[in-house]
Amino acid sequence: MISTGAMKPSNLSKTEKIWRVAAVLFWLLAWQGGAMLLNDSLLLVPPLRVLRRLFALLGERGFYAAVLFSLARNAGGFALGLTAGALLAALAARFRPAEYLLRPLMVTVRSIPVASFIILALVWLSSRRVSVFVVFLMVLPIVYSNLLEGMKGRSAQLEEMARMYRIPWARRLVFLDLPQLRPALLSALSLGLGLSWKSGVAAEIIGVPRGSMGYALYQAKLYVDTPSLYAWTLAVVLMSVLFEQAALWLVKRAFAGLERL
Amino acid sequence: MIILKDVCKAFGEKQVLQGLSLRIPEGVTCLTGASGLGKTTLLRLLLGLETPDSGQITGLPPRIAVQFQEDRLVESLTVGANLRLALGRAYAADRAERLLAALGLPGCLRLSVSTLSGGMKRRVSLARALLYDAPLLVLDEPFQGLDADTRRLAIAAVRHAARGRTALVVTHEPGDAALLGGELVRLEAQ
Repeated sequence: MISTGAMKPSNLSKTEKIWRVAAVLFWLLAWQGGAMLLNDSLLLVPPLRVLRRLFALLGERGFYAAVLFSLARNAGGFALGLTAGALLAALAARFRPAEYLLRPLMVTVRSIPVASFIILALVWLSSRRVSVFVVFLMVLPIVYSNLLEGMKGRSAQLEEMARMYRIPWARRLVFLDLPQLRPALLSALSLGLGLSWKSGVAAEIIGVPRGSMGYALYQAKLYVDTPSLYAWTLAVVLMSVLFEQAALWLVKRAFAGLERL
Repeated sequence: MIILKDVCKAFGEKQVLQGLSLRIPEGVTCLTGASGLGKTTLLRLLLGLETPDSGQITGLPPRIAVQFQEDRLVESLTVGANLRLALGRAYAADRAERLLAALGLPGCLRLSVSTLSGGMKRRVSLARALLYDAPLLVLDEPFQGLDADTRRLAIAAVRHAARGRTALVVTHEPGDAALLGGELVRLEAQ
């Protein structure tokens, strides 16, 4: 089974929480100090100015439209990657030849630089759809490999028990397979969600679909509006974290509901 | 009547069962013998989880209730959910509660399996097998890890559940056959 990795913040001790907050404050101060030393906001914008710009953006209607544009495409690409990755992993776990057949495809998708995919996708698709396709391609191999490992690690003993008690496949899936796949699924979600925003916004910056967060970042770069560049970047990071936390919360709630049955 | 005739089973070079012939009548049959003589292999053959290299097994019913040597419970689910998972529509909470109480586990249906001790899990997996509606009951060391009191309760529950059924019980205690009111079959090295 694949470990879910980082310790949950709620499990941290008080001292550890203080250390974590102190580390963030230290780097914010270092950033502020560096900006003051450089004294050139074109190169390094002070954090307070970035925050001011971000708050200004929050008052603009175009900001929310751009966030929704990118969110919808990221979520769409992620859902497609999750579905396809899960189905292909199930197929590969069931039929060994399918695993052999899919391995080169997954290795290739994982190895090709995201920029190459974006440029290639721009030949096939309109710039408004490129980020969906790119997110799908980034998420697919992560979900596939994590879930395949999880499926291979399922308990053969429980499988035998299910066979002897003639448990129907739908009940096996919900009550036997999903609980065993929980660590692999959470790991895939966490990795995939983080990567989806990075690759999705990268696709938008190269494809420049009007009205997206990537378009706004590109405009900020074009007009050397460094505070806006920083503020939009911060917005992308915040959206990525919120999206990840919301998705993980939903999945964990679903598992908790399952365990209470 | 389940009949095994000249059954042989080997795993690689290791011959586990060599020409085993056995009749398992209705009622309780206790199977005993030293470790490694093939008791579990024999059960797996009856369950259809292994196929004999040669020989015949006849008289097996289509449905078999089994308690494996390991508990094989879903740790993340409650006791009730584990029972419901195996029993499906036949699951009845009041019947499950009565049997669990008879096994010394009253009011534990809503407890998560992960919170139970080894002996409690053993009894839950026994309850699952006893509640399953099948003419053949196969129990692999059902009383393993139970203290004297709970062992007595478990023996009484098996004895009650085996009425009108065929039950094959693997045990290391030859005295269990008498307590269960059944026959004793001893597997010996060939």
